Amino acid sequence: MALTALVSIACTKTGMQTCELTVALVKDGASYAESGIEITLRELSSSFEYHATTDADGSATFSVMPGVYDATCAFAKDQGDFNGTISMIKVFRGKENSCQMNLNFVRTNPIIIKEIYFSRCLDPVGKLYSSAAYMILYNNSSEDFTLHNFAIAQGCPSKADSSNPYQKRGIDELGYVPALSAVWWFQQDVTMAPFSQIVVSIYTAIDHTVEIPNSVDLSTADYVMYDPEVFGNTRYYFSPYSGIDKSHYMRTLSYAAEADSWGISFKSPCFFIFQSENVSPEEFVKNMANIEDPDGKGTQNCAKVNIEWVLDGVEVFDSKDISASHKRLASSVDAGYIVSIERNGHSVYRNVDKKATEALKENAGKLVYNYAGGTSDLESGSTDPSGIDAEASMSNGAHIIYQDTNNSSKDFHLRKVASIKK
Amino acid sequence: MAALLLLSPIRSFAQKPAAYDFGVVQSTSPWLTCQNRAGLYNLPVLKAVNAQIDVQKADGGYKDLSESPDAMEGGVKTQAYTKVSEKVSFYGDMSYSYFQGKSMGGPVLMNPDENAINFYEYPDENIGTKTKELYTLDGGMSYRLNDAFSLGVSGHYQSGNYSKRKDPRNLNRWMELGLSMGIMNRFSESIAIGADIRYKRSVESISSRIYGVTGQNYFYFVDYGASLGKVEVLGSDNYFISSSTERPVLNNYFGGAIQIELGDPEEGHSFFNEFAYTRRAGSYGDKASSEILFSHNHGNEFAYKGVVTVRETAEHHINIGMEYTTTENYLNSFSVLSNPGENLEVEYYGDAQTQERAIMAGSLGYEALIGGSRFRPSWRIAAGLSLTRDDVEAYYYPYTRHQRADIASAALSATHATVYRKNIFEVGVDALFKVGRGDKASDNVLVDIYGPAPRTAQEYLDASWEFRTAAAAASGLSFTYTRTIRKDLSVFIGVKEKFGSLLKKPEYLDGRFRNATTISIGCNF
Repeated sequence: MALTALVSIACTKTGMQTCELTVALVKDGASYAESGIEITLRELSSSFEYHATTDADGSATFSVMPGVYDATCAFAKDQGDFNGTISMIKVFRGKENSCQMNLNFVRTNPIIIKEIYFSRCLDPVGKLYSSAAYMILYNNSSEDFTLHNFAIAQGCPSKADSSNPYQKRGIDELGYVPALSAVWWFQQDVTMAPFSQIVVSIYTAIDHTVEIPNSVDLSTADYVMYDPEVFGNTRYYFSPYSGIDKSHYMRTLSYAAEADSWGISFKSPCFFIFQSENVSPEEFVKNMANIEDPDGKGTQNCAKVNIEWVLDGVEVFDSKDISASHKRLASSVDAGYIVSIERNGHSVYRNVDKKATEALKENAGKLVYNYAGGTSDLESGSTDPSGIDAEASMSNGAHIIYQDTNNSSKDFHLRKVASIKK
Repeated sequence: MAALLLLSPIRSFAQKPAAYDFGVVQSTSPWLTCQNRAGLYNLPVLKAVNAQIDVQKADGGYKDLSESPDAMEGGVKTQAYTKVSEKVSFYGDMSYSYFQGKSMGGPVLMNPDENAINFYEYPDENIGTKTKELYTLDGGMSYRLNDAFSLGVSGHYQSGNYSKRKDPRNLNRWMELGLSMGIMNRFSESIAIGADIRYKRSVESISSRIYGVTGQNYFYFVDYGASLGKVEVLGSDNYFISSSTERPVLNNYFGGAIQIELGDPEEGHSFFNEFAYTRRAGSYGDKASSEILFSHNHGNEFAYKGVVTVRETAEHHINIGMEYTTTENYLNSFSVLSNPGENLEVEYYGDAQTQERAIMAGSLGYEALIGGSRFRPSWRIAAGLSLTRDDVEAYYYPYTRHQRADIASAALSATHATVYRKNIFEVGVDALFKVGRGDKASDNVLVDIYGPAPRTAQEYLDASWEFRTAAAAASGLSFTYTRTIRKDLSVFIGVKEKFGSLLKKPEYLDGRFRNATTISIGCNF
């Protein structure tokens, strides 16, 4: 059942005069007249947010300046949760503008990306060190979950401000999510216990802090992306620490021309996880019918991952290049982006769902508040608005439910120090 | 008749002593300093030329944001008025100055007060040495068609650079070009009317480079007004300050003025009036195929200048000035649609006003030249009073900030010249008192808003406000020795010492005092 929001924007004349933006909810092609639904409008350049609630006709009105906005809404009904998101609403002064917002029935997936570490750090002589990167997967539910036909991928292009071959077609129009150059899968199914995590080392799984104190210790990673027969670049793929069992080496298959590593962006990466149906990830990417060369140059070959398979995604923009960056994930996968500041060893970490976490009876007296691990004191930095220190709370025995609204702008913050760095 | 006029010898000019005061010659007629050069022929002497070298050392924490607590400036300047014939008169001015100031950061633009949008290093932790060079060339000519009509034309050219020697290394290239054309008609001995049109264009191109540790990010505060604005990183081409592209701050001024002089200057009584209007239009950035137009502004300036001159045994001037200046700035909203490496494609959505500013200023001054000779009086006594109201409304929708500053200042000065044979000893004292008050910042929000509030550069706001409005006094002492070399040549050397102080301990400025010592060496001929 599709709900569609009709967005119409009427612009009036200028100076400090604003333009009116009216958002109307539509269901199955007809007006969805329900009052009290809050719609959030966010201006991309300033991150100012405007809230308005729908009236009896199901319409909400905003007064804003010309620019580019995102609009989101989320509400619960008896049949489940609905959300709607529309990106890149362009408000022109002096013009009539209108656009439609497609609302989605929210599918909650228990497996989420909890943290990604990618942004390099300074070595003792002030040079940038890039050989350490990791991702943490987390079971956000109270039940076991088995990662079967599971894979990790990155969006295209690897950097958000690079030439994007999908920009003209529109990432929301594709019906699939492009996975750049290769995907990684486990050698066997992995079962995750409730509220548990696994650390996946993207590059060399050793203790990097021995030589680079600002880096992280990945010798304790649970799994490592290490397949030297496919990617043999020894700068990024040393032999992992001997304590990591070889069965925990992830496997891959490259469909990119002449690549010796799975190159990720140190500034603005994009990752997503998916679970293929009726075919393993390996079989899927071996089938050349599922691979495309979007710009015809052979440099950005992508696998066309069915959008229904995607469990979660995270989109990162570099603080220096936000206005030149373009989305790589469809709005239904990730409606926003988290801003990263390069070169300081930060990580992108998921925010806590305060309401759901506090509602767990087993957490009584175990949650630690006054979270100070964010970067809101830095330019372009951010922090977890819940105020809950998730790592300290988990050390205290609490079960954390992380926020998952399919919007990186709301779901993540920039953490000052990687969570595995003690 | 015209031929006789052309061939007749120049006559009836005052005898100019060799050791004349160039400034006194300039002040004999308001036409000599007016942009309408058609009145240049009112020069009371055949020729007046001044050339000098100045060196100034200024120290102290009582300073504006764009000043240095430890600065040195040197310059060479030459100015000349000359009458070639009864019909043709010239004015020329050439100068070069070099400034070096330590411990400077803050504003990027050379003249922040003149601009509708400003940029400041943020935070102000990367202070370093700044240097500024300016080359200036001014010239004007008047041509008398007959006893009544005269035409005038003037040109102005200034170029320079302003740079910082520590990361982020801002580099500014400056160019200013001005032209004016005027006409003057002396209807009778007691009334003369002039009119001129004038145009000026200034371009300040800015960029910033990093040469040191590249692991650090540098940020700039974009000031919409009264320190309300946003913070941006120094980086790629799509941000206000770019590390790879020079961006121009462009201002065009077009206007004109009408001059009305009542009375007979040759008899020593006149009332000079000038009513001027200037329309300003400017921008930051450029709407070109490979550039982005970030903002545009416009404004108006209405100015009145009045000079009453009475010359009997002593010479008296009453100077009246009034100015009303308005400026509005608008920021463009845009997106870059093209990918790196492609031709730049920018989509503009419209503009939003970021500033509305109105400045009203009035001044009243009196000067008396007593004793001595006409161009080297024994006494020069002056007193002046000025009032300024600066009203700024800054907008970052839906946030607004209002600031109003009312500043009053009063000044007194006296200079005495003693002539002994070929030597002239001149001693001067002056005093200034300034006080201000107003509303530093009143914030408002027009609609309910969520998310982060806009940035305000509080440290800049506080320091700037204290500098402008805190009660302060200054006093100065000067000494000049002039030696007449021959009939038409004199040389001089002078020193000026100026000391200023806030009347109470500063809260935000780095220091309470400011001292400036200037040494000048030159000649008049």
